[in-house]
Amino acid sequence: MPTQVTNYQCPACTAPLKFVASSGKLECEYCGSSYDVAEIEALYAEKEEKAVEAFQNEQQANPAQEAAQADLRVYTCPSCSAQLVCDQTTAATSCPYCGNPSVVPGQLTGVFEPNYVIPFQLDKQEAENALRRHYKNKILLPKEFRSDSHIQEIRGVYVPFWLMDMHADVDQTFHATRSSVHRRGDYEIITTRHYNVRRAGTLEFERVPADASSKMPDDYMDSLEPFNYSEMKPFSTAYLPGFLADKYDISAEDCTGRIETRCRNSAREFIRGTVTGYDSCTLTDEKINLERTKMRQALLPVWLLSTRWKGNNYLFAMNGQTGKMVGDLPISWKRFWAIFFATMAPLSALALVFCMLYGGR
Amino acid sequence: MKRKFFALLAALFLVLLAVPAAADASGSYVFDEAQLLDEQQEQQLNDLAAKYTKKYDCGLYIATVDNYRDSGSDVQDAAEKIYQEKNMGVGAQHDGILLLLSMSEPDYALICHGNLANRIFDQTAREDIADSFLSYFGRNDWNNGFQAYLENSGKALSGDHFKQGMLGIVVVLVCPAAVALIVVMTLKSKMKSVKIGAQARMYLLQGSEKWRVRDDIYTHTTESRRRIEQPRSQSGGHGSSSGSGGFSGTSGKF
Repeated sequence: MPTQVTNYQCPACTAPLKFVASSGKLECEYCGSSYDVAEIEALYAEKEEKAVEAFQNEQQANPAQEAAQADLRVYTCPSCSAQLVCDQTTAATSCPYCGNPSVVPGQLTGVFEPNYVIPFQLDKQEAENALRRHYKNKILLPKEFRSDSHIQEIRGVYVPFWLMDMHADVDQTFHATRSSVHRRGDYEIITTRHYNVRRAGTLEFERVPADASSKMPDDYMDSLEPFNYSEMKPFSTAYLPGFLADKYDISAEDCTGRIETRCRNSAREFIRGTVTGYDSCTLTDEKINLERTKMRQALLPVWLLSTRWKGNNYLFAMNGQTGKMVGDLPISWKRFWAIFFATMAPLSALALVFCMLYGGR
Repeated sequence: MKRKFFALLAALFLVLLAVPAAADASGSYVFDEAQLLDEQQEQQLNDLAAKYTKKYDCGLYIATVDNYRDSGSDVQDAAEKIYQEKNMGVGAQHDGILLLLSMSEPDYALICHGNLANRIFDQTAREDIADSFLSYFGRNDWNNGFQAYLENSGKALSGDHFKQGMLGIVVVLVCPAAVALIVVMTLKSKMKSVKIGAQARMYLLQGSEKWRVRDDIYTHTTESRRRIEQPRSQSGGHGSSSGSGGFSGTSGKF
């Protein structure tokens, strides 16, 4: 009976295949064979079709169960037959029993099928190294955090994003002035020339991202930008083995507001930058209309690392393509005040000596 | 024996404390050659001058002569010579202010010496002080005139003292604290790397802008005038000069 889950197995030895960031290929850990994505795609095309069919049949057959367990889905691992319990958006995971990477192709079909994917280019070890570099030169970081915090979990996740092209129609009016000063007898004369400045036109924004997963914190995903879109590939499930992946659960309409705010701010800033040569410039009227012209869905690579220290969880995220690491670090308030007073004390002493030598006389 | 030794030590300590006080108490600040004041008035003015001098480290002096020409070429020159001959002033720079009355014409000179005195008793301050005593001298009310001179000089010194005190607090505490705060807040900002995206400038397609309107239209011109503040005009017979040797002064008739 076809299962809803696909395990990508090595054609040579049937061991699990995983997508390796450094080579851009699917590699077998046991026999060392490596395969191009296109090769595996062709090999598993039929299996995937059957998995999608099985997924859709299951959905139609058990709508009641579907409604009852809205947050969870249960799959069967094709390798060891264990039950995989995942939430409803999971599209790729690994079997907790046999460790085989498992892909649910049915989750990424139809409207949920991404247009593009940026494959992982940095592996787990690089993510751990990047975290250690993130701690470096942070003088206010508690010393114990560096030594005591342990990586609780490290996950490579393909995060679904909406990439939107926006057309902005901007019409802004400003009141600008130029001033000059000259002297006439006992008076200082300030002459001000006033201008009515108008800028109206259109701007294009391309592939503005917004993460489409409610599980991912928006501020973390925004902070990981930019991704290099030149390395974006047409979507294939063959990139997913070895990583987690989710389908989107925030619709494009719900993401549009955030993207529009960003585009509006940038359009305003760009137009304002074209009004130059004035001593003062005040916006008096503004109309900015935004229209979404194109929309794509892409899976973008993110490493998520969580650590625990003194009962608190700390989340760090790394751009799986560029290596940019973000995550707020705890502050040692003892060090904060020690540095404050260590900076202030010598300056105060110097100022006191200066005042005693030169003050008042 | 031990008790006698400690008693002697205590007595020596008290003498050492008393010596500077004694030295201060014997300071003269009023030199009334023209005998405009009686003994009691002279003593009171001397005590008032001593009080302000000790409080603000700036000497306040009064001198009267029959004829300034016995001391100098003009009344201001005479005042400067008297200041130097009597070794007036406090500190290394001999900071102080002297009011000299010459009764023959009659003339007055109000001179300062030292950075502190010259800074506090600038031309404006000297003219204000002169205005306070000239009306008394016009009525031959010497005691009240000298009192007005001492009190207004003391006010100028106390205002400056307060300003200097506040300035000291700002320079010694507030400025270093501000610098230290900037340093630690900069370090703190490096601990935060997560923030919501507010801009999309990196996604703006270069060269995609198409202009419909790009107008800069001149509408009108406005003009505003401001009178330039002139230095305060010299009135009431005041003449001011900055002399050599660290003196500055104001002189006139009364």
